[in-house]
This record gives sequence, structure tokens and C-alpha cells, in this order.
Amino acid sequence: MKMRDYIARRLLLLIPVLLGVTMITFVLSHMAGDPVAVYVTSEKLSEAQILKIVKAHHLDEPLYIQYWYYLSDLLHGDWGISRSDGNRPVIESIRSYFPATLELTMFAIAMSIIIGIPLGIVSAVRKDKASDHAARIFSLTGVSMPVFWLALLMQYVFYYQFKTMNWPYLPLSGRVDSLLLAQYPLRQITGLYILDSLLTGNWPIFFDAFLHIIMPSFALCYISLALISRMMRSSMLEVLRQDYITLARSKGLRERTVIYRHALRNALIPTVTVTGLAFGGLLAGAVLTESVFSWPGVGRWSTLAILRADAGGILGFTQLTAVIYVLANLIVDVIYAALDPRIRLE
Amino acid sequence: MTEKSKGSRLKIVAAIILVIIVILGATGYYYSTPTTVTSQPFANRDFRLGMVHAFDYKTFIDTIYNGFAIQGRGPIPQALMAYPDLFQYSYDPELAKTYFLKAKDAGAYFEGLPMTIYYNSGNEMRKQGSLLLKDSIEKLGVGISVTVQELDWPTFLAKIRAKELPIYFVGWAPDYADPDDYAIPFGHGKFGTYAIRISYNNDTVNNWIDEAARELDPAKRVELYKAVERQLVTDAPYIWTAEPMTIEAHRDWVKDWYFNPMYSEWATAPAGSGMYKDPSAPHPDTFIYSTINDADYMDPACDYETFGGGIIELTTQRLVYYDRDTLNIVPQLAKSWDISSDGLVYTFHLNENAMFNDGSPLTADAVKFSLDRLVLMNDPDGPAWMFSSIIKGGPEYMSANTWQVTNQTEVDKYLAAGGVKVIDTHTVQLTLDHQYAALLPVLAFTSQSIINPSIVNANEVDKPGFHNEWASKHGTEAGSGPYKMVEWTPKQRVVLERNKNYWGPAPKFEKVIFQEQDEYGPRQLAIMAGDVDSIYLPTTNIFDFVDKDAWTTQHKLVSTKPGIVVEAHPSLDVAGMQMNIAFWTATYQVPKHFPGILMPFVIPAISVFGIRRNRWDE
Repeated sequence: MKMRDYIARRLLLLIPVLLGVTMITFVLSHMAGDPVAVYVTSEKLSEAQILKIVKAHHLDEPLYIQYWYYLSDLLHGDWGISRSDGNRPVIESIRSYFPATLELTMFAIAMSIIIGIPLGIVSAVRKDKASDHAARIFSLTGVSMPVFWLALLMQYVFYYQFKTMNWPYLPLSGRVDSLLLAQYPLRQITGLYILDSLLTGNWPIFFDAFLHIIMPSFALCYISLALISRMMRSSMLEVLRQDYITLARSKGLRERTVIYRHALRNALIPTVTVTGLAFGGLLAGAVLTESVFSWPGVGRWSTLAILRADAGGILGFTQLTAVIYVLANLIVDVIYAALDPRIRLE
Repeated sequence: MTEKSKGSRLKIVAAIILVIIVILGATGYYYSTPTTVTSQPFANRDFRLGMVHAFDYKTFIDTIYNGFAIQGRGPIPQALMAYPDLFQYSYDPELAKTYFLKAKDAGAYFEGLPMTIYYNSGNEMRKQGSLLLKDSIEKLGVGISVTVQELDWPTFLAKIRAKELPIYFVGWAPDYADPDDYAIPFGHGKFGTYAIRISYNNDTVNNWIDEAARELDPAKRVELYKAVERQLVTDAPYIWTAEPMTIEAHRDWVKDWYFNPMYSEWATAPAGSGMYKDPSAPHPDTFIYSTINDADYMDPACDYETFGGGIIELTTQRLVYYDRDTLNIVPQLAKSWDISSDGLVYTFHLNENAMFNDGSPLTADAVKFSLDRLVLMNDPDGPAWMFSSIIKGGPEYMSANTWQVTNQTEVDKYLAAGGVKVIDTHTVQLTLDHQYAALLPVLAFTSQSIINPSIVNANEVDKPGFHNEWASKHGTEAGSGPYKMVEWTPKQRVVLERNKNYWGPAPKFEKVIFQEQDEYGPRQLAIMAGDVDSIYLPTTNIFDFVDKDAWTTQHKLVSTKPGIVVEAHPSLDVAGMQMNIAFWTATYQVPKHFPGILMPFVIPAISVFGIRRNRWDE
């Protein structure tokens, strides 16, 4: 079937999947402690006040009616209150912190794809040669290093050492320089600083925000980079063993055409899966990187919510992560279908 | 003998042996199972005296606090009220052992008492202190086995309130500089949060505290508080572990910084009164401070933490304040005040020059607006209690418990009581519920700050019993202080700009920026590279910045990082362990004593049924 129909079909299938997700989080909110806690803003409430909350959110009704109200609340934007975030509505916390994480994740994934895929190809094509070993060592280091240690090390070298030696240096932390932002105020449209500064033509902020995102996104990308390059390497090796590759070579095609036109497309499929999962995982908020780089993302918010037993925040974050994973999987499936026509014909 | 009788005799013998084995087995089983006992160890004073002598104060202060603390003498910190003659417990293992054994003989506890010491996760000092106590007690060998347990803050608080924890480590930081702020929480059995939670209730002490709060003669008050302290030390429901010092690190181009223990954010507060940077410093008109956490609210009526407090104290003002680095109360918005002879009515004359940051005059209406909304909002987790409990009509409104419910009858009653009254444009009168000596220090706290009613009402009208959502985010844009908040990006930064309409002497900075950096490493790099002017430096990391030998041997602070100044000052914080007197009922299992001859039967029973800790006597 056509690509368009395939996408339409998958989007329709998304609805029952998302409904299933809400059912699971609903059950979780009732199993893991008192459901009232999601709406509680103070620990010193009296019986009467708790009763009022119970009535307002229909918590004394049968479960299926509660689920109906829960679903309609979700769709209307009432995801509860985040007690650890100044008693703000959860949806507001998400709106405040999610763009930061999204921006960081997009850069991290872009970096890991741009570096990881060619690295994997090189590894596979020059198997067991020096470049293969170098590439594998590079990815192994990535998986073995604790991300916060790498982050602190990068800060020490690229910020502190470079600065004291009067070389050009990368900024220490944050999304943008406070003083520069005061001089060139940024009009926020999406919450993604780099995109917004591009759209509003605010070049000083564009450049500065870009510099700020380099170190945190590299720290974050290192692990998924390792995964992607390893996956790429092994699936490339698998594909290069196939008969049609031998045929292509015996037809006299240049090696470059064989690799990039015939082998790569097939080898990409497992790699796309890994990338999709990595993207979903990163979006859930890399709390260690966000802490070290003072990046105001969902990772820090959700960790504080857990540490402060903020039921509303924890559930809201769970909901968000579930939706993200489902969407990431959808995108991965669509890319599959684009890469391999056999899949969309099924 | 016949075959038959030999056989039957064998059967009888076998049966008798079987019976004996069964009986011995049952006895063995009986003696191998422990009995359950209950006792209330902390209700016994000797047991508590054992505890206070078992804590190694010197090691705690020298090793865990690196010497940046002094041993506590009682609830009131020595920097506020010096009482050098007050008896102070010391670490004496022999004496502790004697007291514990005395308590044991009196039946206060039995061998094998399990005790768990709790602290809140993230607090390294308290963890180390608890482990230290555990070590000392177990070394005494008096039959107490100690576990140290950490809890996350909300659970910790909830369990303490429910009186479920036997012994736990907490601290207290002052809201207002008066012994009352310490005596009540620790000593008053009816109103003191800490005393209530450990069921400490000594009526004599309660009466002394009530009397001292009302007594207006400073000398008499001191005597009363000394009596309170003496009794709290004698009764020993707390272990006074330490009064920590406050550490501060800033670049040496920051000039005229001074320390006042009453500031919410001691690093930045002097920016409102003369602190400046050397013109050769990077961006000399901007002061940047890097610290942990974030503000909860920007509304003085409900914010009750140090970060938000730091913003409030630079952007708003109060009727009175502390004079620079002292605890003396001096005029701020009020230029003078009269106190009635019965001490119940305070009439404040406002400074006619006072104005808000939008240029409008700050009048008595604004004062009434700000103080009334604090009481009427009545946030149970917030700081309103300090003022509500002393203003006329306040205690009644507070106890009607109207959180997230607007009880109009109670609101009308409070307003009718007329605790805060406007006499004329520049005169406001406060009538108290009872004589209270510490009103002025209470008025100096951030919750009693004055904000602009016209700006607040233009954005969102207050609803009694609820937070004002606009004020929670923007309250510090509507003050009269030397700075005004212009940006708050949650979990990233707060930016303050100089108030162009400030009626006092202009502050020296155009901008003050609070940057959030939870991790210590990047903060250290930032101040070393000169990108920030001041950072929050926890005591655990102080030897990254100062020479350890110079401090431990000569008590001198010698900076090891060029361009960075480190200072240490006595604070008004107290840290201590609280023993749950009435509610810790230890129910545990105690082994039975059994005659040694039964060992062959008890030991197998123990291994079969898995019950341990048994004893035998010969």
C-alpha cells in the first residue's frame, strides 16, 4: 500500500494504544498509594478538606466512572498538581521543562547518528583493521564511562582549563548566558532556544545557545552513539555477507555504490530501532547530565518529584514518558516502512 | 523369658524413650523461642542521660564539621544568648555505661534492645552524626543494638509528626532573632512543634516560656530563658550536638560584604545596602551568585525557604529590620513607633518618603493589605503562624483551619477584631492578642514584607485560604526594595534589576543574578574562573578553598585559591537529636534463659526453627 495509507493506518492504531497507556497509568495511580495524593498541595489538611478533594475529583465513585473522569481530565489538561514544583499544575511544569529536554535530546540524537552511523559503517567495512579497533574502543569507552564523570571532566577541560589558558572556551552550564539574554531578550515561541532565536533573527542568542548545548548533548550522546555504531556494525556485517551483495560486486559496481546504495538501506533497519528507543530514553530526561549542566529539563523535575514524594509530578511524568515512547515507536515504524517496502505491504 | 515378653518389653522401652525425646524436644523448642517484651526506654531519665553522655561531641565537631561548629548548650544558640555557665554534657563512655545499666536494672529496657536512629536523606552531617552515636553506644556493650536509617524528607516529616520515630536528627534555623523562637519549639509542651512530637511536657517550663514571651523587661526575660535552658538540659530529652558556623566564599573584588545570621541568603542580602564590586572586576555592575535549589513562591505570604527568602529580602521591605551585621532592630519602612503601657498596642509612624517601585507612595493601607492577606491566606505549611499567633484575632482565625476553603464568617471576624488598623495615611496600629516581647524581630522576617496592593489586585484578587497564583510567581515585582525582580526561569535563574524609584540610598548594582547550580563541581569551577562572584559552599567542601592545617592547628582561614575569600561566622542554627519520650514503645524479642543441660535439645531446635540469640546459664 502507499506510504500515505500506511501512515494513516498507524495513526489510527495509535488511539487504542494511547488509551491503553492511560489505563495503565490510571491503575498505577491507584495502586501506588493514595490517589488523593495527586491533588494534595499541603500535608496538613483536615478531614473536611480531604473530603472536598475526594468529591471534586470523584474519587469515591466506582472505578470505571473514575477512569472516565480521569481521561477527560487528561484531555482537558488537568494532570494534577506538582507539589515539588511550587504547587504548579503538572501540565505547566511539563510545558516549562519539556522543551529544554527536547532540544537537548534532538542535538544528542543528531550527534549520535552523525557520528555513530559512519563509525559503524567504517567498522564493518574495514573489519579487524586498525580503524575498526579504534572505532570499537571509542564506543566501548562511551558505554563504560559514567555520564556525570564525563560531564564534569568536559567542564574542567573545555571550560576551566581553556579559559585560564586564554583559549576560546565552551560555556560551563545553563542554556544561555544571563547577561547576553538581558541584552538581547529572546521571544519564545516553541521554548526551543535555538529554533526560537533562528525564527526571530536573534543571532547573538542563536550562537550562544548553540555553544551552550554542545557539551551537554555530547555527554548525553556518548552512550547512544556506542549503541548505534555497534548495531550498525553488526547489521552491516550481516548484510555484507548476503548473496545480493556478492552479485552487485560481481556485476562490477564500485564498492562505494555497493555499500551506500545496496547494503546501507537494509542494515539501517535494526539501527533505526535502537535509535528510536534511545531517543525515547533520552527524552525521559537524563537527570545526571541535566544536574551537572544546570539544564532545566524534565529529568531534574522528575527526580525532585521522586525525592519529595510528589505523587502528581511522578504520575504526570510517567504519563508523559509513556506517550513519548509510543510516539517514538510510531516514528520508527514509519521509517521502517520507508526503508523496507515489504513491511508496508503486509 | 519368652519371645513374646522380650518383644513387648522392647516396645515399652522404645515408647518411653520416644516420650522422653518428645518431651525434651518440646522443652527445647519452648526454650528456644524468645519472649516478647515491651518497654519505654526514653521515658527513663537515666537512659536519656546515658544517651547524652554517649555522643562524642568533640569528634562530631572536629571531624564531621571540620571544626566549623561549637557544641550546643541548649536550645538557644550561644550567638544569640550567651550562657557560658550552663552545664554542658560531655562525651563520657564510663558514665554513659553506668546510666544505661542503672536504667536496665530499673527495667527501662532489656538485653538486645533494637534502636533505630533516623535522619533525612541528603544530609551528610546528620548521617555521620548518627553513625557516630551508633558506634559509641554499641562499643559500650550494654545490650543495645543500633541501626541508622535514612528517610526522604516528606516521609521523615510525616513519621515525625505521627510520632513514629524513636530518635531522629533535626535542626532549627531562626525566623526571628529572639530566644522565644527557640524556647517554644523545643520547650513548650503545648505549642512547641518539637516538644509535642517527642511528648516532652513540663508545666513549669511551659509557664516560664509563656511568662518570658510576655515579659517586657529584657533582664527578667534572660533569667527566665536561662531557667528554661537549665531545665531542658536537666531533663535531657534532646542531645545538643552542635551549633554550626556559616561558611561563605566570594571573589576578592566583592567589597563591603558583611554577615548577618538573620538573612535568608546571607551572600546576596548586602547587595541592597552598599556592597559593590571593584571597577576592574568583570561586569562590575552585576552581582552573580550561584547556589542550590529554587524558590517555592515569590509571595511573602506563603514562601518559607531560603532561596525565595533571599529574593524577597532584596525586592521588598518591612516595617523594621536588622542593623547591618548586628541583631539590633532599626527602622525601615516605619521611622518610629510607640508602644502602649500595657504592651498590647504598637503604633508605627511610616516614613513619608517610602514608595513602591512603580513610584506610588507606600502608605498604611499597603501595610494593612500585606499583613491581613498573610493572616487570611493562612497557609499551614507557610510562615504565617509567626504573625497570626500574636495579632489580635489571629489565633482564632488560625485554629479555624481554613486552608483551601474560604470561610467568610471567620474572615469577617478577623477583620472586625481590628488587629491591624489604619489610623491615617502614614500611621498604622497593631493590636496584639497578648503581650509579646518579640514583636519587632517577628516584623523583620520576610513573611511580614509589604507589597503593593494596586499591582496585586490588578492581576489577581486574593482569596482567603488560597494561594494567589499571580503573587506566587510575581509577588517580588511589586515591592519597595532596592531591587525588582524581572525574570524567574524555574530551576535556572532569577534576575533582579535596580529599582529606579527606590526611595533609599541607591544600591551599587544594576543587576543581581541568582543562578541555580545544584552540583558543587561546576560551582567551584565557576568561581575559580571568575564567572560568578559568590557561591554556596557546603562545609564538607571547604578544604578545597582553605588550608586544612592552618585551620585545624591555628583556627585561621587561609585561602588556597587566588582571588577567592572565604569567611566563617557563628550562625544561629542549632542541630540536635530528639528522643521520643512517651511514644517509643520498644517491642522486641528477648531470649529465654535455659539450664545448660538442655543445650543438646535447644540447639537443634534453634537450627531447625531458625530462632537466634539465645542464652543459657549453667
